[in-house]
Amino acid sequence: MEAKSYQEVNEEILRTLGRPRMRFVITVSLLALGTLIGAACWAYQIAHGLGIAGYVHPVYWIIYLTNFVFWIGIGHSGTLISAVLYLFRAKWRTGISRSAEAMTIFCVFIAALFPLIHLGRSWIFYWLIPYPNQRTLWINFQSPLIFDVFAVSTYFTVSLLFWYIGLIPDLAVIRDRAKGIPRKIYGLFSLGWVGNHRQWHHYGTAYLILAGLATPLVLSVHSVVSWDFALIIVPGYHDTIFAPYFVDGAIHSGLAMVLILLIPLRKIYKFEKFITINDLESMAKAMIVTGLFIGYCYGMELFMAWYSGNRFEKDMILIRLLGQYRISYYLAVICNIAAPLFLFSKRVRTNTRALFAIAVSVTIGMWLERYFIVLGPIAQDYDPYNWGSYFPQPVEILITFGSFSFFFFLFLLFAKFLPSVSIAESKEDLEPPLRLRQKER
Amino acid sequence: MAIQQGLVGVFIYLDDVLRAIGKLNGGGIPIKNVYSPMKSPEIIEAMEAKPSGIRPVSLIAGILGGCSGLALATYAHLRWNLITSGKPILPWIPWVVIFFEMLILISVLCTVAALLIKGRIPRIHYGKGGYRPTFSGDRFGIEVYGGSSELEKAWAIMKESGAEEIDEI
Amino acid sequence: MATSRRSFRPVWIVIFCLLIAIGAVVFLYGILAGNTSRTWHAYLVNYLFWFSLAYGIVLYGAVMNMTTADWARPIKRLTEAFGLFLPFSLPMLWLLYIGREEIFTWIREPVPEKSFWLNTPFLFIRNSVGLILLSGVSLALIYSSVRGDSKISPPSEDDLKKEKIDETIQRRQDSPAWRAQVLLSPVLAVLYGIVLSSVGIDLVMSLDPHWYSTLFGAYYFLNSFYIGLAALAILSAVSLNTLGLKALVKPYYFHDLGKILFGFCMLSGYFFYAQFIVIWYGNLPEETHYLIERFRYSPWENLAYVILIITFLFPIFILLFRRIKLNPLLLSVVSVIILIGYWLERFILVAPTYWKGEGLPIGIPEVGIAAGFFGMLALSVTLFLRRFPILPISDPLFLKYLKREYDKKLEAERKKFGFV
Repeated sequence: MEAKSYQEVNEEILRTLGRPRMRFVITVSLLALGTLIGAACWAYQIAHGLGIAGYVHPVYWIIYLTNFVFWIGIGHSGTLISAVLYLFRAKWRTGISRSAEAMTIFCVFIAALFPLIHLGRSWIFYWLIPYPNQRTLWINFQSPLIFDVFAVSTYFTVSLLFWYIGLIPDLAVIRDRAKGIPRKIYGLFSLGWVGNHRQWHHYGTAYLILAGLATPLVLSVHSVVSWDFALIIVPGYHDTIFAPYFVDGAIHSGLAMVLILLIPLRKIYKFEKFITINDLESMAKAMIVTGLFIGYCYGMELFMAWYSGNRFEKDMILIRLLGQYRISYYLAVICNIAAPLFLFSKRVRTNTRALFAIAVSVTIGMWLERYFIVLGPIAQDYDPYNWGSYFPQPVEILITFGSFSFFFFLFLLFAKFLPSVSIAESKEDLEPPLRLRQKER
Repeated sequence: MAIQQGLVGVFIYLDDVLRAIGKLNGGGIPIKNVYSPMKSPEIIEAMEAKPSGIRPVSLIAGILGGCSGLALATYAHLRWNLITSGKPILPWIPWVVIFFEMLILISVLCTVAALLIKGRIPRIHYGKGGYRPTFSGDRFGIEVYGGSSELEKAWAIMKESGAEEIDEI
Repeated sequence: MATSRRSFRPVWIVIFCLLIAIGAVVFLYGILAGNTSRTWHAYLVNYLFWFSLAYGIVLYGAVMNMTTADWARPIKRLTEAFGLFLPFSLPMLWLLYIGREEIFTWIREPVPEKSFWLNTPFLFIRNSVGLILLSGVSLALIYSSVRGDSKISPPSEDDLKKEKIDETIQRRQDSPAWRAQVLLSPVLAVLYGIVLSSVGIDLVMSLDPHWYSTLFGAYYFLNSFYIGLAALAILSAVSLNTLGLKALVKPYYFHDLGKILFGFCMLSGYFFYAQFIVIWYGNLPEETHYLIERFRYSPWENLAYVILIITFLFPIFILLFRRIKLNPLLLSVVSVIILIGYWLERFILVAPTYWKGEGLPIGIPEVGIAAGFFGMLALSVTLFLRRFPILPISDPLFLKYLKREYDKKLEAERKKFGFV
């Protein structure tokens, strides 16, 4: 933290809220276009049915669910950084927590869209909500898909509230410096915050409690998502290790996405004072740990498939290594496990280009991992007569592309219209202005 | 000088603020608000704030929320028996997840509600009174109300502690 | 800065040796009197519990280095104190070789498709190699940590005031001893994961060779870390007086340790639940028989609920309270209860594979051998702490901790002055 005074903190961070430059407008427009393409494909799919998305017997869980697990997973890292590191009082959290938390909200929102897309008849999603209804039906609270409904909606609500509560003092800062209509809008959302001692006191307690409550969600939400698969008795899905495996993979891919977002943000906005190379290095070190545990899980799956003596488990692993989706498996191993090993070297950890490249590789690798985990076991399960073959179709690829566009679109809007570094927390990190110090100088 | 309702003193330095708070409290002059641009544990300690009442709210709301999730699930399963592959009708093992998620959700909602209520936000007319926009920048503020003699004493104390400017409200 | 004093009575060494003797006598009597199955299994349960505790706590020292945590630096030596105990994991594993036919059912009734993994020579060789590596790296880490301390004298308060302290910290960070620790800590962590998974799979999961769970290895090494933390809490509380650490170890240390304990309690419960719900929901007979035996059949059913309460529900609830976490004595009591719970957990994993009788086989063999292992552990910790300097003086993070505490003291004094 190199900034010296509160005024400097305000000015540095609020500088990014100025008038957008042409390259920003162009980028946002292109991303909006990408989103619209994705939305158009979804509309096309609703009109023509899931068959054009490549759904073929018995492969009914394909890219939409891959995307669902992928996007929810990425969101976990944001909560890890903003909530868990807050509880650990880690100093390196301050510069990155606001962006990370925003990333979480956008990821969870996009992830929540995918079960709807996957439904085909997206308009009947309300059947999942437990309320006394005219059909006199209730949902099955034993089903892992219902656990998902509870977990994802809780996660989205909690992340949104946590992010928003953190934003309120910063919105007050902007309100006090803006004029006209922006002043009214920021004023509305800052809820009339004045920052008196009572408000800060309750705020501090509430924020700590929210951080403490958001922390178990990092584990539980992705575990619930993993149990969507693990509770199914198909070899390749039914593994006890899925819960920590998925959670760890989520944090791994999430850290990669945070790096992908922050490294350009830091460069373009010249935020080197707030997001130091040490912060990036800490995230890289965390990525080594998560990558090693994923390697452990891959190894354990291979070993246990043999050890189990179960014919179907052994065949499932052989199909995974030699069958239709083997390329995605090998690529995932290289991108997820081998690439982060380069982070053992300090030179690589402190080089932003190398970090960015490794982050991109991990993101791709984690997507491919979700792909072969979701598709492989159900494409070829117990009975060979029942096996089916699936190939990606344009509709799904374009919707995936649309989801990525939508994510970066939302994030760029956030970076432009809201402070991407937490102002109040940055001020807390500085030494308060003391007359004593002034005298000493 | 004739002072009407209240005073707000604007300070640059935190130790000045703490000194002023000490003297005002010692002189029996009630301080309405102390403004700061960030959370300051020193100010909170100086104002002798009681532990925030939000903690018990979160705990109780969480437990009640978890139980309400279980109650909903129990009611639904008794009303509409969807028997899945030999499992009991009221299975507690999967319902640990429901309990846990509802606990977190309701606890968070009630914590936020408690924060809004205790912080007395949202407020439309936040600017009435002693609030100055610099308080969200780099200045601290102390706002006092009282009779004219108390306010004269307060004026003197704040000036002595090193206030940058003192305004009437 | 207070120098460490050791108010330690030698009578304890006698007591620990006595406990070891009791353990050995009970063990030998059990073997010779013909109660071989029960004695060997009691030995196995204790072997698993006490050595995983020791490896867990040494790992915590490595974790502290990797996360550059400075809040717990004063007790760094306590995490290393178990180093003398670790090498014994090898000969005591070889002792299991003598009783292998009682313990491993797949020796008398081989499982053909798993015989590549489950055969006596391979199992003992791979676990020996693993334990040699793990204890070797642990000892190397402890050696680098201790080596620097015996050469340097502790800094005084004047040293902390001067600007030179930052230079000193930098110099210590570049020293070969610290560099060795920074290098060895992640190596230890990786080895710990692999070796303890292997121990868990080979010595616990294979007792029922037809059952398997992919999470078992990770479950085992996580629990071991958790009980290591509980042991650290007890040892920290004990060392406050006996090692004179009261001046340096502030109450917030116990608060933080209590919070970590709470977190790992939740993690352990989560790992257990992850296995349980997958197996329960899938309802596949080849997986469920293991759980049904432990959760539905008497005499294990009641024990399982007791274990659930004392290892999970009780700590989760009690560690929510700040007053408990701040008080070293109360925290130690909670930790002792957690340790008893996990001993019983190791017991319930192992015992149903051999005990088909009425009632629970917890009696003199189990408690006696436990006393013997405890005596060994306590003796090695005591000897270590008597021999080596208590404070990690050469550790740069310890200097940072001291400086931070000193700065905090100055700050508090200044503020009081500013108030008046």
